[in-house]
Amino acid sequence: MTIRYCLTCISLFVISSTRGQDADSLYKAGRYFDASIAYERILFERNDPGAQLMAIFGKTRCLKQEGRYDQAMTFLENWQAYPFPDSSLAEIHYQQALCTYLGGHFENVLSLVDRWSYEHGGQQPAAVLVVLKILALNELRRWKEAGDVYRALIAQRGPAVAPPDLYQHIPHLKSVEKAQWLSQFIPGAGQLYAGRPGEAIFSILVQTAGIWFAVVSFEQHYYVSAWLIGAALFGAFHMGGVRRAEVLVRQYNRKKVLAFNEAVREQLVSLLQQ
Amino acid sequence: MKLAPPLILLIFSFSRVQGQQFNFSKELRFAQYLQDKEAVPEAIRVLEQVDTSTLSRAQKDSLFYMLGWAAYSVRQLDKSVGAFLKVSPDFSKYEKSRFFAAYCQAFQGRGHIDSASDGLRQLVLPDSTLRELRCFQLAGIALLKRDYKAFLPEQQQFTYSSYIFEKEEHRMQLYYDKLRGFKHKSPLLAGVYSALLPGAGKWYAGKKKQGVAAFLPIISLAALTYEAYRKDGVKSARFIGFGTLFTIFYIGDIWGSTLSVKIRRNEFNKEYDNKILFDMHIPLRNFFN
Repeated sequence: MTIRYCLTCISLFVISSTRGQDADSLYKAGRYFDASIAYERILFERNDPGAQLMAIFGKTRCLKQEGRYDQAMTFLENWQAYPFPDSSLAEIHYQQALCTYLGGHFENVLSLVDRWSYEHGGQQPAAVLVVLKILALNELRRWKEAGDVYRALIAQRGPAVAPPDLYQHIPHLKSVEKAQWLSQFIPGAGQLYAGRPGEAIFSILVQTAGIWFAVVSFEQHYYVSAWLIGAALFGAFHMGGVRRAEVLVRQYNRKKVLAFNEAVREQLVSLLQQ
Repeated sequence: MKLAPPLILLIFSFSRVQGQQFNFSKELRFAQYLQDKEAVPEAIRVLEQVDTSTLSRAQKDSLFYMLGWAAYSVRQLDKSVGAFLKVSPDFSKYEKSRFFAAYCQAFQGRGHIDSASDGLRQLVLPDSTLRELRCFQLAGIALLKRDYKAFLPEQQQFTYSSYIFEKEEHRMQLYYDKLRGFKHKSPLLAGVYSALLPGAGKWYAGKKKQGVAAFLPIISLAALTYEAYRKDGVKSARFIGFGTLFTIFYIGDIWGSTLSVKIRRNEFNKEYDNKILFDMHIPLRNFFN
């Protein structure tokens, strides 16, 4: 009985001390799925907070590498209420916010950042979390709020050389309704408004050709052709032009938003690195 | 002293067996822990990596049952069937494993469906509800195969009295009636209709909107061709151009109409396959869970 007990204890000790190394080496080998299982095994077997924390962050890394941000989010949520030291809980909280951002749940990022003070003894959120909040607000196109948080962060960080205030040039988005309305009454005007003169000229030419064909056919007594080709060509390109103008404005707006958000992201990352 | 080596060997082998049993139950608990955390693919990986060569029959049964169930929950049907079929008759959840294996095979469709009915027929079932459940599953499988002769003997075993599958039994009867009542339309007739009136073949096949959508451009091209013929004559470029376009669209519609009969039939079959499979599934979950 004693021998069995000793053998079991020895094997358990050896196994548990090598688990962490196994998981790390699997991670380093790029076998993220197997590594995440190995980290889960540590969480299943071990009760000491050090090993558990190592496994939590290890598994989070694996899930991020696999692009499974939603799973990472849920996984970290489950460990939020665990009695770890506050510094570790703060790191879990940050990782959760990061995975939530990477998963595209921007409203949830805001909620996680706002919860920070309540969950960490009234402390102000770390700069990196504030950055996540700004980026999430940008993605939601709530630039006014993002600008306020951004300026507060710059003032708080107090860099040696103040960076240019990007929020003084918030992207001016074009109106989809206006583009549709323009194309409805002036062929090609919607495309021109969306900043695509080439497409505007093409639209004008095709619609004019349709009308011209209809008129000429009518004068030559080709009434069916005038109606079914000329008028149909004009009608089809006119309605298509209205829809195209809408698409082009959306593309233009998306491009503007992406460029602005990217500029803010780059500036904030370099600010954090200082 | 001479006894020392055999004794050490004995202790070693005893501890190894004990260790394996300990490891196995721990692996099973770990897999269950992963499943509880909705990490089912990870649980499957853990279960697949267990070395079965040293396990007892009961341990293997537990392992295969758990693996089958995990694979089933993430719709890895091949894996699920393979694991469920390895469960031995001595295991307490043998019937459940076999029923779910059969269901997975039925779900996999042609090529597996005969194995599903064979597997169910081989079962020795002491319980009358289970026997009726088997009849119900076999009836569903018969309908999936569109084997109406095989459906009727199974359907005659329905009692319509058990709350577990009373509604599904009624629905299965309804599916039988609908499937039998489905008129197999002729692709040839659809082509003829479209030749007489463009789009009519698609209307006949049950695709009314497509019929209208085919009719409008063809009739427009016909009008343009006629106008070109009346004003410019047969040899004019205008007539030849519109005439060619009209012919292409006209023949294309006839060809499309013949195909639309087959497409409509496939859509109908798929719709009823999904309904049958859905209703086969509900009683299984109600009875076994």
